[in-house]
Amino acid sequence: MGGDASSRAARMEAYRRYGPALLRKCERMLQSRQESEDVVQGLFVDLIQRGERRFDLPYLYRAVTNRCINHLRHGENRSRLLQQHDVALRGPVRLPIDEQVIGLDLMVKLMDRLDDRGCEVLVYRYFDEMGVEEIAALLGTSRKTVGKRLAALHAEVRRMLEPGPGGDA
Amino acid sequence: MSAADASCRCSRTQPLSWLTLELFQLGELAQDEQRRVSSHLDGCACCRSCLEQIRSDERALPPLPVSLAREARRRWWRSGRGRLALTVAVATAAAVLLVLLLPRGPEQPGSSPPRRIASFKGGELSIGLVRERRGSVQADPSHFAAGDRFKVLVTCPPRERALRGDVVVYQQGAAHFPLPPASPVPCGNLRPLPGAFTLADEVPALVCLVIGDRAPDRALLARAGAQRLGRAPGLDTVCLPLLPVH
Repeated sequence: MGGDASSRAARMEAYRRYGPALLRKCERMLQSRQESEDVVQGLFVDLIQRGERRFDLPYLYRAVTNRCINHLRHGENRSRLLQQHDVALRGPVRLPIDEQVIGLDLMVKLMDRLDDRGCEVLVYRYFDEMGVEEIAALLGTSRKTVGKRLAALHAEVRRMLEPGPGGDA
Repeated sequence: MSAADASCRCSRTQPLSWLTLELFQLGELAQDEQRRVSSHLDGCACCRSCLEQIRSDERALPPLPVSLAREARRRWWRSGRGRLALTVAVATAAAVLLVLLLPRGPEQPGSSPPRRIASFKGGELSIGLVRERRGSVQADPSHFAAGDRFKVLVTCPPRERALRGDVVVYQQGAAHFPLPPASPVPCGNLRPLPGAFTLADEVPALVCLVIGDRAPDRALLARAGAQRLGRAPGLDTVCLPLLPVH
């Protein structure tokens, strides 16, 4: 019982310590304070109830990324967020593509065209502004693989920005 | 896509990622990495301003509705002893209820409001509440006061197809719908539904979660009332009572 109490205390401490960073990260993606709170809270409730013992920030970053991606893939969440999102929560952007910021609308369109790993790479690169090496370390893959995914992602973005039937511009 | 008006330019090829900045702020980087980040920040106003934004972002975290007692109950439940004990308890309670209710005759089945736990598609559906009152959090509350904020927790067996749910609150015979309609129900153990609500009137309330494969019809729920809610076709319902504090 003492062990349970101490591990619970450790989990609550992880929530207190890492929760704000995860909220900021969710808000960059979802651009909604309320829905970000729900996602982060849901993540911790699940982790605690599963008896999860790993609570380092990179691991939680990845877990919350996948939650946000799933949240955005859900049709009703997506339409609600597209109508009600607060652009200011996107925050400063240091890695635009061709001088343009990837906003919520383009992100959800890209998500329809990318697989799960591609979506993760998109988020890590353009919302969390990670370098290739950092993404590779987080995903447990090679820099070369990440580089290929980024190249495919850029090609997709440019295709979508082209005027004409295939693009949205 | 929007113009990059909120952007700033990092002085290096690769800016410090938000994760790196968060780890730096928490003091969780390795020593050499900490030095590298410090050196980058010294020469880069853009990344420095991002770190400043993290440092100045003071906020209250949403309450985490997990209590030690709840966790202990969950483990007890998973051990199998909980299920056995519940089966025995439910069977005993059912027998007692049967004895108590049978002689009354005229009472119709389904004429009482749904309970907190219901059997549901190969498992159980249950509703829980978490109350926040002036920053203090209480799981499984039985009372409410003005200004209390509630979140609904749902437990149901995971399903391939997302379920739709709605929360309806009955007070003095009137139905209120405090959360967005047709929310997707995240089946699992004590999963929070999106959004939170408060109760205005100081009269007893019955908070019900109604779920189904399709979005529950609010007009139908309002017409059915608390007593006949359990009869709504194609819908499963669980409810919790809340009493006002006087």
